[in-house]
Amino acid sequence: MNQTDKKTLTVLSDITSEVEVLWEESKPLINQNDIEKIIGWELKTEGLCKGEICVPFALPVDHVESDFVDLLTITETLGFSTVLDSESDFIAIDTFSSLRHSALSDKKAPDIKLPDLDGNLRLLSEWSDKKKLLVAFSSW
Amino acid sequence: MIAIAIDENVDAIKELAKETTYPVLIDANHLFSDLYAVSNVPTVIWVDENDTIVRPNAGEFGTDTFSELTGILCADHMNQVKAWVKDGELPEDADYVVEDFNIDEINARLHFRIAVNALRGGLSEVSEHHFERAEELAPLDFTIARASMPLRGGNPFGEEFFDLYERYQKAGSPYHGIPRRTARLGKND
Repeated sequence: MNQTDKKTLTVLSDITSEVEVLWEESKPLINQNDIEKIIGWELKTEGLCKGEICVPFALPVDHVESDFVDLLTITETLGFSTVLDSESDFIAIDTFSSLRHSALSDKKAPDIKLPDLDGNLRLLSEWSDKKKLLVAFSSW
Repeated sequence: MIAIAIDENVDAIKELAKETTYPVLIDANHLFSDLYAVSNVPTVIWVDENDTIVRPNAGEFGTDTFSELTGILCADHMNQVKAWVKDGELPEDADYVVEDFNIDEINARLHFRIAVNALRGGLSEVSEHHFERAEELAPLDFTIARASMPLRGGNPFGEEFFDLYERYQKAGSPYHGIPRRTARLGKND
């Protein structure tokens, strides 16, 4: 491995998290054990997996030397758009792409966890057995 | 009814929602907006007991406060909701398929997310850079262009809002949802 620089990257996906990365030629390399923590997909022998679903993913041949993999290759494999700010150490990842697609085309209402006014985390699925009007509003 | 505030300003939402009897959720990171392709507010989505979206994103109002501006009357929607809740009747436009975000809109949302987080971390220059990129990529998305106004020191009810609204109207009022009722009635022709 060439010259690398260890830093904390703030990852903005369906959750907000921080992860140690090695920068190599402006590519963030992430420990494979941290992948699930930041995007909910896990690296297994079958590939990148979430629940029952696996997407084939082969580690690069020079990989044997370390546990670190290129995060951008992972997001690309999963079809997630990303915006990386390598100067300020932020990466934003659209992990919702397939859920949004099925919400729009198959009309399946995806679940989401959000805080209520008292700060308690609530799931939309708590109201699953009822007819619901979801009303998006704002103060602006 | 479940209200979802696409808003970073938790205090403002608490003030707005203090009299409410229905659940109010706060979406300070625009996750609901990203997941359900909500590009303007208010947006209403009807979801049945099986978690199926039976009427997708539509700009509907709870009052007629903005009717002069929008041409949308709240009573029409209220009556449709009543017919659905009582008799399971769905309006003609209920099977409309809302278009997904294009790549520029997705990237705009990712830049917006970085901008808001950078701002929370006190990185105002980084934040401004990403707000600018977001607005370049999706200039007519209200959940970006208008939501960012108070965060960038602007006034979401001031001149810049009316500028945005004029550009939006000239472009045919595009948003991710059922075409507006005024357009449906042909009043915009």
